[in-house]
Amino acid sequence: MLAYHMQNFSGYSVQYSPFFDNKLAVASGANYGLVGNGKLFILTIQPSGQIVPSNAFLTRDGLFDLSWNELNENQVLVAQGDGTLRLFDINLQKYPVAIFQEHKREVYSCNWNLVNKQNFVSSSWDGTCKIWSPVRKQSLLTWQPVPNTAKTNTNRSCVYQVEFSPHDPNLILSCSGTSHISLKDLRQPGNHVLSFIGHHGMESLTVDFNKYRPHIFCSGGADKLIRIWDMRSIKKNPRFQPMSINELTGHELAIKKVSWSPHLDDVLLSVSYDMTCRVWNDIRAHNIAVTNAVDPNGGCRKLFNKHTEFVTGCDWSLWGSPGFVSTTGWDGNVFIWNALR
Amino acid sequence: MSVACTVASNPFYQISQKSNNATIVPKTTSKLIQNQNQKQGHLLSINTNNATSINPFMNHSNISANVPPSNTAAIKNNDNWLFQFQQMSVIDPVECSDNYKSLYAQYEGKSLNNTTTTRENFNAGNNIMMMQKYQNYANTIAPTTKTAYDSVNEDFSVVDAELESMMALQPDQSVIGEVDQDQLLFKNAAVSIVNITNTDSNISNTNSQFSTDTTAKFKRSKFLGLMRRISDEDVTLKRHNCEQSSNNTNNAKYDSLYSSELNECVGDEYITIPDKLN
Repeated sequence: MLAYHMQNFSGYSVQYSPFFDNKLAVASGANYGLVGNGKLFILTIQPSGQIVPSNAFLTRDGLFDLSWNELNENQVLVAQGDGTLRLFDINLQKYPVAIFQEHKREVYSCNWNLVNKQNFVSSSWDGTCKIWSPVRKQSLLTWQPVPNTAKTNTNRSCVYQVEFSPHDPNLILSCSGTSHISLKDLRQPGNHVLSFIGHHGMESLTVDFNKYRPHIFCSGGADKLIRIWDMRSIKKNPRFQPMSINELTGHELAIKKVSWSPHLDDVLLSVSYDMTCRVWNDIRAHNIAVTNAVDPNGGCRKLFNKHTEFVTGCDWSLWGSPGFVSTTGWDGNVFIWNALR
Repeated sequence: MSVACTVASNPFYQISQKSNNATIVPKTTSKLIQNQNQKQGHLLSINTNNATSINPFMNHSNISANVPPSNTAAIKNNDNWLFQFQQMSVIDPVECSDNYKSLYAQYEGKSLNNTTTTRENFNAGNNIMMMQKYQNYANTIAPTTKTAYDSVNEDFSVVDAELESMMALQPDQSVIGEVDQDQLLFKNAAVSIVNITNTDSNISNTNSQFSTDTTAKFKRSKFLGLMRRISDEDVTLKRHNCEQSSNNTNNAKYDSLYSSELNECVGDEYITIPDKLN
């Protein structure tokens, strides 16, 4: 296990570089991200196994998420608490190379399109998602995954995560505080979104597409559940509530982030407010007759409990032997460990 | 002597002037005035008439000033005035009843008999005695009062010291100000977090929804410790100070956490970052 401690900053998100096998970026915030500055750490894993910061960018507000530019190996996009997205060049110092400002509240998530690589998507606590091009200051498209209604509490309309499908450049998955999980197909005219309640009315905090099964995605929420969904079962009828195809139970508090393995179609990693990270097997992936409920451990194949505060970010390494992951949390630690051993 | 001068110098008039309510009413006022008008000329009659129409004894000084009396007229008037004076009666509208007067006279008589010696002493003595007496009284009061004031002052100084120490511990109101909605929400969020983690950890481990490891982590958690302090209102959000606000275009109102107990910032100080591009 490798470790790096960010002094005075709490980690929110970590992502391996898609271009360099020894670089990763960490988005963090001072005072647990509640108030104060943020900092983008660019960490380098040295051959000796030591993790050293190669660059850092102090920001005026906390950073909640980041995404490497899929077209430029030196650029990292961050989602900032002041409602802006900022694109940093890791070879430059101090200031970003571009600022994208349209969101009215905290930008909580950002994700680069893995297929066409020309644009990125952001989600915010203002209840909207936006698609951006790095060459334009204005967003290309804005929509609300969950339309505002009288029943919708403004504080619950936060869109906690949004991400492009790794299989389809036009498909976008998001989740919000209203418990809705929404699918947006950019080819559909208007503001058409497929939405459904994902976590028993409690906040849906994270979603992720399976990298090998294009119809499968998972979600995590405040009900402590990780649920696996087949998007083919989601109907256009809003009264129709789809059933998850599998449920993973074991976390003791809300799940902050889930991530499917880039190497295995039935393995996923989750991090939680219970200060643990868990590696799961989706037992149903290869046997539709059973679910994880049949497994004594609920399909949990590994539990990582080195973090001493809430664990908020995780990512699988694309490099080397499969299984290396990095996790970060509010304890300011970045751990790199093998999830499959 | 003119009528005016006579009236003005009349002791009853003076009494009436002092009492302001007593009125000297000659029984033959109209006649008198008429006579005087005939004898003393137009100006007097005018003035007298004017004075009479308003208040027959109001402007006597004016009358006396305007009409220098002649000696012969004064001699004649003396007799008239003596006669008229005898005919005058004083009516005091606020005068006490005869019954009360008699009772008061009895009371006065008793008082005079009892305090004769004292009054004689006072009369025989001088102001120095009175001054000495009051000085003695002052001396008897003063030490007590002085002592009392000293003790009160000491008490006040102690209270002042306590207040000053409390003021020193008070949070900087220019920074914190009154608790606003955001700070209240912040506190409520902290309370809910503490409740989630505390309630379950208080339950015995067998019934707790958290594992032993997680419970131990919660107890060691610095974040949850901070939440407890926020829920106890020891720590709250700190607003931008003026200098930073003027330079800061950030919409956020707060930049750090502040402990009212320690009177200092908690956690990391905010560093202003200019909004520049590379």
